Amino acid sequence: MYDAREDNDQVRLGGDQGVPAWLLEPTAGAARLADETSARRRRARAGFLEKSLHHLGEAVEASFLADELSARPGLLQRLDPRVKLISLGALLIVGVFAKHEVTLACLIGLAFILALVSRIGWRRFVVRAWLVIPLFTGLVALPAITSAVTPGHALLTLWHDQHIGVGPLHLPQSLSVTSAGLVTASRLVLRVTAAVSFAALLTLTTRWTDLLRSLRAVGVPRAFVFILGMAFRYVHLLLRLAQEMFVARRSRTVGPVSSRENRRFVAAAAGALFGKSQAMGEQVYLAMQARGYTGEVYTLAQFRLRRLDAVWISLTAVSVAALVVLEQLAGKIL
Amino acid sequence: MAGAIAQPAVSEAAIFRLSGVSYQYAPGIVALRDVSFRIDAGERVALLGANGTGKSTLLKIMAGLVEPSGGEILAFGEPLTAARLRDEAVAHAFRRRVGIVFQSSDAQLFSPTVREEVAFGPLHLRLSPDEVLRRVDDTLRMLGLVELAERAPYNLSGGEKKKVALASVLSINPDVLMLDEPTNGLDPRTQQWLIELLAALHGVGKTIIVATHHLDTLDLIADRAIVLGEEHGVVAEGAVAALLAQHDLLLRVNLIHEHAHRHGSLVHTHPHAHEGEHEHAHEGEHDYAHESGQEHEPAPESGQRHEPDGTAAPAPADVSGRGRDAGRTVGAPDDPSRNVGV
Repeated sequence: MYDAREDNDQVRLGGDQGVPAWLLEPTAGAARLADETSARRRRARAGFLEKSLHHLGEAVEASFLADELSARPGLLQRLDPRVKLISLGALLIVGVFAKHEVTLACLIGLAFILALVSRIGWRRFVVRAWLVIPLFTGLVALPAITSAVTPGHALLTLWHDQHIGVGPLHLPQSLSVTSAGLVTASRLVLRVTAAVSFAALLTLTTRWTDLLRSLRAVGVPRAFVFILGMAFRYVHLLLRLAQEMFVARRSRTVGPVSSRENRRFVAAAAGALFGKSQAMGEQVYLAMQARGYTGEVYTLAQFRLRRLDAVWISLTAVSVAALVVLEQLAGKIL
Repeated sequence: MAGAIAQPAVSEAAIFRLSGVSYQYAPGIVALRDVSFRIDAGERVALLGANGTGKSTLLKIMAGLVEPSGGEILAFGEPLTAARLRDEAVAHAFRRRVGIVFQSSDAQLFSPTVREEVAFGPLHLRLSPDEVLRRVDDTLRMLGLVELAERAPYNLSGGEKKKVALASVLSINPDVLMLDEPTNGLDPRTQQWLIELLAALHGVGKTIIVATHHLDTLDLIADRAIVLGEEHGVVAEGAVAALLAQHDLLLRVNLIHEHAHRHGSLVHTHPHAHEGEHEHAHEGEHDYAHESGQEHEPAPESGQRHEPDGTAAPAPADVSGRGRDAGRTVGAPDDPSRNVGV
């Protein structure tokens, strides 16, 4: 068999020197990986940027899941995206302006029923719409339940007539949870939950591309929609490029890397990505020009209103009217 | 003027005539130098050259996307200049007749869905809405892309992207189809599909211009080749079969290279193209392998013959160029720089 080590100085790969001897030697002591790694058990921890990129990648992949959900044979999926955008947007606006819990509860109930009949899975809907964002809203609204922010009838006294403080910072002498505070905070959380529910229904049951196109129905300029679509499309590409750069770097890195080295790499990677995106932008422009683009954007008018859309619009109008009446009645009764 | 460019007798005139075309990226960085040739209607022409010889730039210049630094181009008998293409009527007339498929499908696929991608050209060339829809549907059906119509292009495989890129140009129905390194990165099946598609398009009278450095598929996609050298100029032009037989030329323009390997006690070099399978055979019993690890079976019909003393002797050339060693030993047996006894 041919052994390149015997005549490495005669093999030419384009340069003025043969293959160096070290390149022809196998890795010393590499028979067992365990020997190599046992000496240094320290694990290289993923940097924040790498984690962020990974999560961004997951977000991009999530958009593929949205494509799958939007293809399911549910009620909202059957609607024209423009009709869906306008109707769910109207319900969302009612939720934002509603002042009474009963109205907000009705809206949230309606959203849940729509999630069920749209076959997006109640667990996914609850996690997406009712857990994370309302939870954080609750945390933000926490001070509002106390007498320090919302005075009122005390339901629970936390402390009374005490001096608590550090240096110049002092807590109120008395602090209690008030009924008015609880009502204010719960309204805020319900309002956010209702708004997020309808936004989640819209994004989970509509493909991104259709959602962008449907923005035209609410007066967003065509060029803006087109650029938004392109940006979404190329963000995917650049994200993948960035991830590949990080993976390539990781494949040549062992053990922890100093933050100084990381910063240098991040700066270099950002520069390289900028260069690549600029080159890609120029190529895209030429490709558009080659197919007749002269500055004006034309798109396919693909949406067509059907009977179901008309029925849905009527039902939404009736629902919105009923909710407004309910809101007024609740105002009079409560 | 737009009418003139839109209605020439295509079959009677040169589609492209380039005279002394040059291009510089920046002062001193030359991409093309004094390039002159002509391409007639209905031809299948390859712009052949190694990496960095200016093939892609030349295609973009011929597609009216980049203005040359010097020289003149006549397209359909009329000067092709940036000033003329700023006239929308002229630009539309030209773009309807010349389509270009870029090397990077990612650069070419910028629309949210495959359907919109295919519709982009016809829409922007102001065809009627009914005609646009008809062309989109027909093109998707023709290329078997109906299932992908509502998918986002970024979610497709490399082969699918290339098909969509082609569809996006074919929906314009151009008379001239330019393709930049079309077989790059394609699996064998998609590559074969592309070759057959180009043959079919040529069969219906389209002019096909391909920029490539692949010798293995060259004679399947082109009848004539214009060879660009590493000095960024045209070094040869002629029938593909004749050019593939000129090993010295192919070696000089870096499309094949001297391949060094060892047979018993002999290390020798000979021309070698790196496309497709690597088939290389010699008379006699040798136990040898390339550094790549490929084993070579001795074959009596080999193009290369070894003398009993271990030297290699010239033999009749195998000029297929399809991934096989070109079959001729570059160094004479008495040339110590070529054949080294060990």
